[in-house]
Amino acid sequence: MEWIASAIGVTAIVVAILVVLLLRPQPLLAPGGVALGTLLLIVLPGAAFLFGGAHHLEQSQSTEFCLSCHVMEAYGATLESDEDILAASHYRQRTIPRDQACYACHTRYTMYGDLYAKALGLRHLWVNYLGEIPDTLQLYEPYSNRECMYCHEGADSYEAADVHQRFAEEMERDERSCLSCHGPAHGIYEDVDDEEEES
Amino acid sequence: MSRDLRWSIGLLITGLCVALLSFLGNSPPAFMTFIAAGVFIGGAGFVLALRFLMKLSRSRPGPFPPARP
Repeated sequence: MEWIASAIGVTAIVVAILVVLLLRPQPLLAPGGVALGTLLLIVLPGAAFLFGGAHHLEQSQSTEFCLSCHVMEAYGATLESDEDILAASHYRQRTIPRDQACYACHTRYTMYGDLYAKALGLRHLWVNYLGEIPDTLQLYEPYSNRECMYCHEGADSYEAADVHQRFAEEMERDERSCLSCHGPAHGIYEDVDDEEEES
Repeated sequence: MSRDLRWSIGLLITGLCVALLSFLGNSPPAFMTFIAAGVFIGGAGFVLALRFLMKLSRSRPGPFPPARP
């Protein structure tokens, strides 16, 4: 759902109401003012901030948002690479939505996966603006096969490959990473990808 | 008009206007601007609004007359 129209509309209306209230506060001081004040000063501005938050959360899933940071430019470039890189093949073949290319793989497909991804995103913001960006970017933990399986499990092309059946249990326990055969994911730091493969 | 009410409305208008400005961007700075607007400016406005409303409710007699001794 596109939240932008709701966010702008509700916020603008609430601002207009508050400006009127600033000029003519008499209704708040009349009988029934507490209920009216609760509605105009708490509920409506709260709703405006909620709509705005929903818009920004939705927007933060976009590829444009992720790649707007300088440190992510190299990763963005790998999406359109002609080389045999996992991220590029997904992007070029449109097996992931292009406007949410980063988020499609870098979220957790669990009940609170979105919240977890957003919490990590806030940490990224902190490091980007107030911390020290490391020379070599690494995932916080090895990439889980669960994220790949969210789309691939049950697909004909996946089920048809014998090797997937042979290693099914190991893959389910994350003892064998999908990247060990289908990597590198971005191919920027080959050594990091190799370490992930070994783990 | 009470000072709490005036400041509350002023902060809420400021917070919401900053939030509106943040909608123009699609980047982490825009997101941070929205958080600043919502949490800090809007939050302060909410606190003052609550304080005003609590004072207002205390200054009003309830809907029922006081019980007879």
